[in-house]
Amino acid sequence: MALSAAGFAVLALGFTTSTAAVGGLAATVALAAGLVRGSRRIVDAAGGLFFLSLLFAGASGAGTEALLLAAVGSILAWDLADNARSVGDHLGRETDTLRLELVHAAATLVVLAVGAAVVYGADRAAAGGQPITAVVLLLVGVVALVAVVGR
Amino acid sequence: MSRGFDTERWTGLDGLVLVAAAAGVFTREPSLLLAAGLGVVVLAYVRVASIPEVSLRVERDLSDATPDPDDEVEVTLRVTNEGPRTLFDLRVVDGVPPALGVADGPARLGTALRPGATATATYTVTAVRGEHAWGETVVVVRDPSGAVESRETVDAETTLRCEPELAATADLPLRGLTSKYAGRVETDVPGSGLEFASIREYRHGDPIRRIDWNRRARTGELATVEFREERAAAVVLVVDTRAEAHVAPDGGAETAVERSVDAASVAFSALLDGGDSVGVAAFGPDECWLAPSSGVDHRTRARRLFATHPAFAPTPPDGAFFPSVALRRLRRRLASDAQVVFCSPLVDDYAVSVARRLEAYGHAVTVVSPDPTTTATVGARLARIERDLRLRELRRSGVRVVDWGDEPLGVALARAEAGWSR
Repeated sequence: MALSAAGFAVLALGFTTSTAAVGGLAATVALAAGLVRGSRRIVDAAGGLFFLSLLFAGASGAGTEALLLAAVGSILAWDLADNARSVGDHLGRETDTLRLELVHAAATLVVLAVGAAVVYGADRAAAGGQPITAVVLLLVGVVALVAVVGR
Repeated sequence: MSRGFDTERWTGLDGLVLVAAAAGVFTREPSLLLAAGLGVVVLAYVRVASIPEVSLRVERDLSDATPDPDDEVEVTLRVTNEGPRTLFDLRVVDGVPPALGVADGPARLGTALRPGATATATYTVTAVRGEHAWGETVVVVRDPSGAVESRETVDAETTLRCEPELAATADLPLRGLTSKYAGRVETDVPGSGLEFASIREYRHGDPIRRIDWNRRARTGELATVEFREERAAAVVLVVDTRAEAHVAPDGGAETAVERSVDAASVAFSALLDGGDSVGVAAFGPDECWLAPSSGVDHRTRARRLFATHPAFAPTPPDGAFFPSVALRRLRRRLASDAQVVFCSPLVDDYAVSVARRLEAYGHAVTVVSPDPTTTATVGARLARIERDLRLRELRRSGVRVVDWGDEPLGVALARAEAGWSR
């Protein structure tokens, strides 16, 4: 259960570089409360707070690397917390589920790292001038991807 | 490959991705668009999530399949992945029999399993009287992202059988109603025996050994000494197993039915040792009848009956029960010279009327009543007073009552016996 503390640490690191650190801190507190109470609603609210902090940080001009790291940290923290909560629901708190949670954390971390690397790589490759058409094309691409991938 | 059902864990992520992308466009911040791109990757990961065919073997080992009551039995649950794929997220909840309490360690398991690998969980249960079968083991499998989940049950048959020894730790004094066979119950019938009863005039045919020779020497008359005749009784132990009798002072304590069965098994053994013929009956939805008899076979039969008959199960019965029909059937089965030992907590008036009716039909009734009441709340105290009144009513109508509180049964019997008239 306490594993998501690692998530918090990563996340705090990601946020110190941005002005939205306060939002991230509040979200972390909410996440901890959700874990203690074992409440899905509080954990999800914490996820929402993370998202708002990310939006704010991005809008106020945080660096690309910092924001990507923060996003990875946020998603990981929420995912671990929610997984821990569901394991707690199924198996109770006294069961030893370290292996289960480690495997889950590793899987999510790998996917996020690969994803971040791909996105970052694409950004580097397309670096240079940023004509508005490129941005619009990117947006169209994102919408298409979400439409295809979303269910 | 099966999809399982959606856990709805990631619902809403696509919306957040779109919002992030839109915000990126409006603020002209490339970093937000990149974050949205990361979100798309996660969505794709969730989209391809699936659960491999689950093929598990569950085995269960008991450290002792036939323990004594209150023994701790160690249960080892072994789960083996027999499928070709790794199960990343496996959650197992074992189907522990409802009557057994888990004393140590959770009966649950959460792990990731490679093909052919085995995970074990060890826990201990405290054995209670009866035959307990493990239920289905529930297995929940999730894909690594947690987006889909499937739930199945695996069966591994395991039975724990706990048969207490029938130990005569306390002697239950019987009432005067006896059969025609020789035994240990002293009757008021004069004849041969141990305890002096009376002296009467000599009649032709009296045994020479019983002639009072001192008197003959003193007065010259012949007189015969008579003793109280000792005979065997036929006793039927009736245990109140109605749902009403499944009461306990608190959640963890033994129920009154458990204690009634304990009392009956102690009395059974003691009476059988004393040469009486003893039978067993349950007064409850599950019918149970063992006709009075004696001998080694009978003792074995009764031991099995007390341990494993569903009527004496530690969990309340759920069938419908028609008490007057059951009472009529019981009465038909009772021989006219049979005594009744009725084991009931007497927490309702019907139990009292059962005892009084049996007494009225001529079966000398002794009630052994384990006390399930407490003094914790006002309601509990009221229940205790009501029960005391019922006991008093029974005593007034001539029924012998043993009120059995927390003390050992022998102590309660000795105390009750002191107050009885012979």
